[in-house]
Amino acid sequence: MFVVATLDDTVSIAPHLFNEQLSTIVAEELDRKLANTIFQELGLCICLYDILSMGDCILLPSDANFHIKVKFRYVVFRPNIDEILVGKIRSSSKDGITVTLGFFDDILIPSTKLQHPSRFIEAEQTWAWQYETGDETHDLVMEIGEEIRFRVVQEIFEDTAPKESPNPGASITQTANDDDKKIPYTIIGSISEPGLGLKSWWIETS
Amino acid sequence: MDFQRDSIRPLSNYEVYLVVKQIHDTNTERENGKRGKKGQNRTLEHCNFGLNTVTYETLKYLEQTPCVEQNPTIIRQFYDEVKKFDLKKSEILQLFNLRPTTPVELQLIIEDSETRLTETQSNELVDLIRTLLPPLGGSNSSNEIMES
Repeated sequence: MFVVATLDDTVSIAPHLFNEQLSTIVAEELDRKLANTIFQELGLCICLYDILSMGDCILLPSDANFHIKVKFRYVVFRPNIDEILVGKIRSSSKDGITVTLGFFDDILIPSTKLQHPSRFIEAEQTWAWQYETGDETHDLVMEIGEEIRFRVVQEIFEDTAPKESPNPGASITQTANDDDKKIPYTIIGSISEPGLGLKSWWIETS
Repeated sequence: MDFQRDSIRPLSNYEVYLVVKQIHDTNTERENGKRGKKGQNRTLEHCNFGLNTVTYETLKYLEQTPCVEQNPTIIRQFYDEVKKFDLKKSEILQLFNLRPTTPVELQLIIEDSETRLTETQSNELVDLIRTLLPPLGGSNSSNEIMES
């Protein structure tokens, strides 16, 4: 679920921080830069794990800051493919269910990866697993806020950094709209296996 | 900024819990200190909202998982016991993180569990998890023993 990754970066330290402990300031700067951001192809950055090494402090002409090369390890949320996670249902729509872990919200379980057969109840805007026992079918409803266990099947990284438009004359409103929709890191989940789905479905009552 | 692809190592929920808990505790301490001594040079710059948000939310999530009840002794002991089942490291890690207590949950975590584990073995593994890994909320442990 979580990993620790080694990163390299150059940190600039402003003069008013010179009187503080160097490692503390470097740690704070790194957290300010990275915490709660998506690092492309890596995952959601949580917090600094430790600093491995710091290079020499470099001064540049006409710049009061000094710059220092740092090698450090960072705690990152990056579940493996096939890993099992537990979250809470955030919303449901015809396309599927979105799940939140509290610190990470962009998890989608598409309608094709729900338990089979499932149906969408338009009136209540919820999904239900049509569970068959003998001749009867029961609707097992998946309400918002319930705990759900799912398997990670895919991860999608999308670069949301502003890009240069290929033709500068293109309408600005259009590109702005596109940017809104982009999610830098999406996890696709599946609950189409025994044991997956709402936690309450699989509690043994023996 | 760049990361080294081969440098990525898994962390257990317990390890992450320790890190975010420490950050949270230091923040609370600072907060209290600030209230105690008014006019300290705590500038707004010291507040890192991104870090505080993500670590607080991660902490809240992890507090609802069994990892909060674990400690290095428990982890070491369970790891030694579970070696004989010949599981992958990633599978053992998930046992710690999710603490599965039913065979159906175990099947999800262990790939090809039908061929790799016999029924007796998987029951034995469930028993090991129940006895060695403490459940969330500690007090439930007595209920669970009664159930089984």
